[in-house]
Amino acid sequence: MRILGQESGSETGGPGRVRVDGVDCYYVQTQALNNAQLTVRPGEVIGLVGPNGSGKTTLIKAISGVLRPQVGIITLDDADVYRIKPKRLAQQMAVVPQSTDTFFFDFTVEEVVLMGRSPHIRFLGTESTHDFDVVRKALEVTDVARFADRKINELSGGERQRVIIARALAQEPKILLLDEATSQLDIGIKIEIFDLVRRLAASGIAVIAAIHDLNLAAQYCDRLLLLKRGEIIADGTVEEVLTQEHITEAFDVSALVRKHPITNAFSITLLPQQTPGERSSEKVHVIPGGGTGAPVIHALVQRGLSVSAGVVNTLDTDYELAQYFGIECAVEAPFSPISSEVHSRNVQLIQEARIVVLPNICFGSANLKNLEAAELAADKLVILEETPIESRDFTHGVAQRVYNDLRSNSPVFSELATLLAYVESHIG
Amino acid sequence: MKRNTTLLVLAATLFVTVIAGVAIGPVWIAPQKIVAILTNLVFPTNHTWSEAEAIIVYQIRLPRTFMALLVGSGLAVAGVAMQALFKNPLADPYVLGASSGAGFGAALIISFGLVSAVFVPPAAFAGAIFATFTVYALSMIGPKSSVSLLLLSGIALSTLFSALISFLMFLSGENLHQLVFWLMGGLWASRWEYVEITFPVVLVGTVIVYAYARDLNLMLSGEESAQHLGVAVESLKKILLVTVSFIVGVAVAFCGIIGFVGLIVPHVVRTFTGPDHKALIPASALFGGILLIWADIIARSAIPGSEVPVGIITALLGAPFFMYLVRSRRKNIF
Repeated sequence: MRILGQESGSETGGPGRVRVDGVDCYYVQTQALNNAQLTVRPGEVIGLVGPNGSGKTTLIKAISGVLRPQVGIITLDDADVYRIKPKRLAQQMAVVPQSTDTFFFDFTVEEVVLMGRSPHIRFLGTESTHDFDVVRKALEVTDVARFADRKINELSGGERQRVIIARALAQEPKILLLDEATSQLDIGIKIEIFDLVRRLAASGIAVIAAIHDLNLAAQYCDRLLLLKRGEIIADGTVEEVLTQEHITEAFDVSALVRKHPITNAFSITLLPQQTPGERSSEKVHVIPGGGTGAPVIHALVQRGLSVSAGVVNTLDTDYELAQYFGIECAVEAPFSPISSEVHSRNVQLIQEARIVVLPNICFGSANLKNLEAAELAADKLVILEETPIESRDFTHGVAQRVYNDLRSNSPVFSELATLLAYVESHIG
Repeated sequence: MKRNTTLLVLAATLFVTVIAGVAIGPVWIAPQKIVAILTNLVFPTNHTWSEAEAIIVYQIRLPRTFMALLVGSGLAVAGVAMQALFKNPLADPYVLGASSGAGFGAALIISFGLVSAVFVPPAAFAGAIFATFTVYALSMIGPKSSVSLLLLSGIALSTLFSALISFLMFLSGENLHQLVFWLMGGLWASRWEYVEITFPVVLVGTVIVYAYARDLNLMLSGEESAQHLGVAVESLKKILLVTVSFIVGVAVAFCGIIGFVGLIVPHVVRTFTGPDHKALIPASALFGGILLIWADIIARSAIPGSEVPVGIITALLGAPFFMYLVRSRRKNIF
């Protein structure tokens, strides 16, 4: 698909291939980039991810020709970008910076976008009708055409950023560099802009984007570069780069990485540091299901309590979290009914526990045994009921009967916070 | 207002202003006489005027009005360039120490008693360019110059040169009066020789600044953005700094230090042209000329039999007006 195709405006030849070769960058004395290596192919969307100060912006600046590397070379179609005249470079490469300063004097949106044409206009030349056509398309594509006559400084941050993106598109670049261009925008606009980025990539433009949000990066990039303290510590597909090990290494935090069951998109949840120190001697057992147990397990572990869980299915979020915290579990294979062997393991854990929590889980034939286990907990049981049981029962009333029985004999909480307070006050 | 209409109105106003500049003075000379005297230079006609009137028009007021026009235009254009280059609404042609550099160069010559069109302008140029490039060199961080360092160095160097000028005044003895008067800024010494030197400098300078109008627009979105849009930022700075130094050098050499024109004119003009330099530069050139001619008319008519240095008039009128402008239009200016 062509959005602002390169059918015109590119007086310079070459496919727009960027190579970064052994690049070191320094800010005065501090090294900001160490031996960076990267080849960008046309039509590729590359995400630069990593914590603040990891060198994402530095790499963008180095490629865009404003921060000359002390070591190494950056080339555009085999020419050193620091030897290409700024005007020629601007015909091929456009940059959208992190946040746009307010303009010093007030231009209209259209005037600002028209500035994007200046690399294509000869010295002392004037804008042609073609230039105005390109500007009009850029205004439409970024959905800023409706305020083309407004003053740039009157716009909101998100609108202004879209205008700057429109200006970059008006350059008809082969390479588009986005330096956390959407980090200050609402989620809806982020998605709009990255959908646009994908369409641009489909028309052959290479995009290099520093992205703060890992989920956004995972969703929209063909390839990710993970940076830490100026070094590229991983380079590859989303699957290859966004592993728990890499994320822990780069961000010094733990993360849950999984694919969303519906969209198949990657989802990264950053977890707080494991609480160090002593765990309580008495245990709390959680009966989870389909990820509903995860927030409860998380909250209990955060409060320094010893937690066990069961029965959980592998591949479930509850399971991943339990694994991550290293808590005792009764584990069953994915999507399988609970076997009697695993059930008795679960019952054993329940007997060892001081308190048993039954969160707001759904019941089907596969996990009815969990309800039986809950019955065995007797007066140790506390219930978290956020939605009525009717809506969670897929057993034609079987689960409901048992549940209501349990309900009348146990403390019931409608919020996690009050449940946690109860648990904390009853445990040594 | 459309750009061309604005420029046409300004050009017409300038024409009327030039006539007024020649007509008004201790001796009133009617506009039709002025036109007749000037026409006579090309097509000799019957004299309807006295010889004295012809001398006043041709030898005194015309060169003086032209000098006011040229210096006002030059300073205004230089101010536009500096404000865009430094993205700073307080920047003016004098901000980088160019004026005090030029002032020192010229003062050095004058304090030796060498008041002439031969020695003073080159000394003022040399001072202006020396000051500008010293400041530029001081502001370099790696391959780039930092705007805040540039402004700070400019202030420091201005102070240094001002001290040196004061020192020269202290030493100059019999030339003191002349030196003081010259520094306050005035157009009374204007002669055709001065116009002949000033005209090409201001014209070429304005054309150069205008040629970079598009780049100056881009500079307003920040240096890095400008570079990303194809502006060779450092060479643009060098070209415009040299150009501005020449304009300031010639202005200071002949007319002393005339403050406020380079600062206010761009701000006033922006209120009716908008920030686009393609309109702003020519409009500022015309408006700067108009403003300084009127300031000079006031300067020579305010106190009968005497003459107030025009620099005092521009500052007296300019400062309060600028304060008003800043308060009433603060959203549009900054």
